[in-house]
Amino acid sequence: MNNRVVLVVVFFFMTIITMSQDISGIVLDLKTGEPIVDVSIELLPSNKTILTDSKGEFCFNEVDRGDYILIFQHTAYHHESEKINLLNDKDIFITKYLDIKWIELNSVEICSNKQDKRVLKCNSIYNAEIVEKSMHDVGEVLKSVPNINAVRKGGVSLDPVLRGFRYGQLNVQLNSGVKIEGGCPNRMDPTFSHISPYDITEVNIYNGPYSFRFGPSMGGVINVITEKPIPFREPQVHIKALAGYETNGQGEYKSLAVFGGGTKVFFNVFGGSTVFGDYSDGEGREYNTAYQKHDYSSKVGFRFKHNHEVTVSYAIAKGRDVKYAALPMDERSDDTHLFSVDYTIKNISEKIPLITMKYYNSDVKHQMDNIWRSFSDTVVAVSDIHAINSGGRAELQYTNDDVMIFVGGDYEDIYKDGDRVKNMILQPGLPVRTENLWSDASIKNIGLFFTYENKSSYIDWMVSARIDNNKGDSDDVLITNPKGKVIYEYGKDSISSDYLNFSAGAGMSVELSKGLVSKINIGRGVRSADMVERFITLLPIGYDKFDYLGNPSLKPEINNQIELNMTYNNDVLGKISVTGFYSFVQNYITGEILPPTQQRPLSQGVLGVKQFYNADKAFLHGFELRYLTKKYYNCYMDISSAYTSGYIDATEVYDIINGTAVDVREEKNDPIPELAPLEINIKLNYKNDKMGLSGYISYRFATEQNHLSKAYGEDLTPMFSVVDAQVMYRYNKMLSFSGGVKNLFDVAYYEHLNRNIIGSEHNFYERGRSCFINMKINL
Amino acid sequence: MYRYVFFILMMFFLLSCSTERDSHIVKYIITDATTDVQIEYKNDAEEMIQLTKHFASEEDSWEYSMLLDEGDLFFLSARYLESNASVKVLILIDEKVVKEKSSENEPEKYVIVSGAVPY
Repeated sequence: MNNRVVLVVVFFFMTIITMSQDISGIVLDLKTGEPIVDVSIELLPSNKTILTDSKGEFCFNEVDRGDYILIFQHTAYHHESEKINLLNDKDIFITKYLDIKWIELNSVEICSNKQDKRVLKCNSIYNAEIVEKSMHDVGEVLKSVPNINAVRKGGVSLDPVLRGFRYGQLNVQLNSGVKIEGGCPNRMDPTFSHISPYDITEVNIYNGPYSFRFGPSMGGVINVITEKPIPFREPQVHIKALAGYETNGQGEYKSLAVFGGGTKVFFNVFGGSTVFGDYSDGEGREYNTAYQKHDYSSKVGFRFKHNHEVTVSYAIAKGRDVKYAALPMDERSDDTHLFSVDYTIKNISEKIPLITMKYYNSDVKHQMDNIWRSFSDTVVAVSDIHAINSGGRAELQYTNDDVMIFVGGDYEDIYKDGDRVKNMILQPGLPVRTENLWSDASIKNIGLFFTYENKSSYIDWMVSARIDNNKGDSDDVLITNPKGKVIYEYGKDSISSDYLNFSAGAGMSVELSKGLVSKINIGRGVRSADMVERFITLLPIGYDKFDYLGNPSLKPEINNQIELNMTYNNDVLGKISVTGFYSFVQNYITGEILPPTQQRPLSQGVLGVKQFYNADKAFLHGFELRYLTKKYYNCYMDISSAYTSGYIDATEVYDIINGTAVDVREEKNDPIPELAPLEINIKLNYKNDKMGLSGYISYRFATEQNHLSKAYGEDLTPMFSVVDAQVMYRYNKMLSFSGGVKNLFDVAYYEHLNRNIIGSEHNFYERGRSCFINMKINL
Repeated sequence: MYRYVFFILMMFFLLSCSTERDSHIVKYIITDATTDVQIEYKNDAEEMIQLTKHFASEEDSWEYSMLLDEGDLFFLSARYLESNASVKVLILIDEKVVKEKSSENEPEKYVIVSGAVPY
């Protein structure tokens, strides 16, 4: 009996449910297929109005039979309507596409009093800055960020130094996870040299070891984002082109990007070329800095369903005849092939908005020689190096109210092999000696990470951690002289290493009062030694004149860093931001002198041999200050200053007698080499959007650097100041011009981080006055 | 339509950025000798060739030409074993003398001219 009553009740309710008519559906972007949130949907004549949810979905429940009109409204989209006739008892599901509403504005200025409370501070540089300023190298672009400097060895391929951290201490990558291993032991081809600056949309710089989503981060992360293909509602093709000329070095540069496609398949094809001659400094002295770079890339995106997307990218970067005034060789050719696949799934559920997966492979074939050097009259040396970096990453993003979690893993496999062939061209029979530069050397790193972010109206905070397993290995290395005598030998048994590294960081951002935000970050970033530090075999790669020897037994370097930032934003005064940091580095990797009885140098003219080792401790501290005024009469000022100081707790210094380093003794608190001095930048900007006219004049002042490393034999660098000026004019939406002058007063100066001219004590000066003009076309 | 025309023009513009190396005619010459001379040179197949050539008079000469790319190595050595003899060795690139050396009364000494085709 009871069962019958239950069945009747269930049947009754089921009948009611099936009789009720619902009008539900989803609203999607016509061009991208993405769900649109907060679309207002009015059901006429019932006058019921609802909004779409975070998945773009809506539902009107229990609607009576009859004729209806649905009105879809959103500020960013064209309004749409849909007639509906409810005749039977079936539910209706509607998929509605809205077309985005393009509005041509003469001038847009985004002003916000809302403070930037992101816990992790990120400095970004965008494409417009790169293109308009006539920047030919990403390293040069980065120098505009306070506390980023760059080591210059030639006219191009500057190597960034961020708060005193450099080379393997920085995590430099492309498109959030792609790594490129350069071929040259002397870093003539750092990561940036394999990327065209004109293909870049933005560069994001994260200081310190606070977040570990993008791999091991010890000194910081520099993430370069290149143009990505985007979908279009209707098949179409667009073109972006740039052509320019610079006087000093008679440089020509041009690039062409063709992009377009439809909703399902879309593409971006890029080609760029830069050719520069030798530049001259402010006193007319010419330097070996000529170079040629040619870059090509093609990216194709495929969208299936509305939230699955695959992007396949293939890029070729060619360097030809790149001169390095401060290195013993020049780059004859560099052929880089870069392949990557990205798979993205969006909005799987309300709590999982994003899953990303990536695979990449970068293949660098690098050839360099000394043919343009005076000593090639006796020995012609040619090095061929093959470097491969392949890997991937996967990340899941989880969100719940004020919480956001990123969890995932990444993998990197670096392989390097190459020889240097020395042709003794003045000896009978033309004897040839071959030396290993890398001997099937490899480093493998696998890591797991998570980041937890919590946002509230008052305090935002985050924690992040990762664990890495890092393995290094190489075949044995043997170097002999022409008579067969062993100069250097390293066995396979002692050349492997295996480390487990744990990194963690945390940060907090608090809005102390209206307009005043304080941030604190603390972290411990661990990184294992890089290829050079582990496996280099007697090459003069440092600032000092020593042959360097790798050390496969190096312990991982640990950066314990704390950072405090205060930002005050005022409607009248503008925005001022001050950041101070302090780093305590354990197992700091630097060089120690080996006695000649233990190891003799291989290169001519060097003072001896240094081997990489772990110094006990090093300390770095510094600040960044930036003040941005409000805009008055289309003008505003941007003032910044930065400084980093650092020293190694205990290291070795030496005296030079008869060209050999002797009397090696311990030195306490010796400054870390290659740190830039205090810098002040003042930039007066003008921007009139109605006229399409903008420009700036900037003044850069660097103090004398007298904080010098004795262990590296650094010399004092005098202070200097430089003025640049530029104007940009937008003729119409398709055509714009920019032009300007770098080093307006033709000052002869050099940066502290510029290496000396090879084989001399002469300083490598910066470019003298140089005028440039660019033309940009958008179709 | 103008987009496609512009695109084609720009493609020509970009494709003009050639990365190919130029080739040059490299010529070895040995002259001013009046005795047997042992010659060793690197040919275009990158082989080291050895031969002995008898020079009847100072006007007599030995020549070898080849096509090399920029950066390729060239090498020529000569020596005579008799005293009171001489030899002159030259290397020309595209008919222009780039290296030249001579020897007189220095028996058994190698006279070497070598280098790389300049870029």
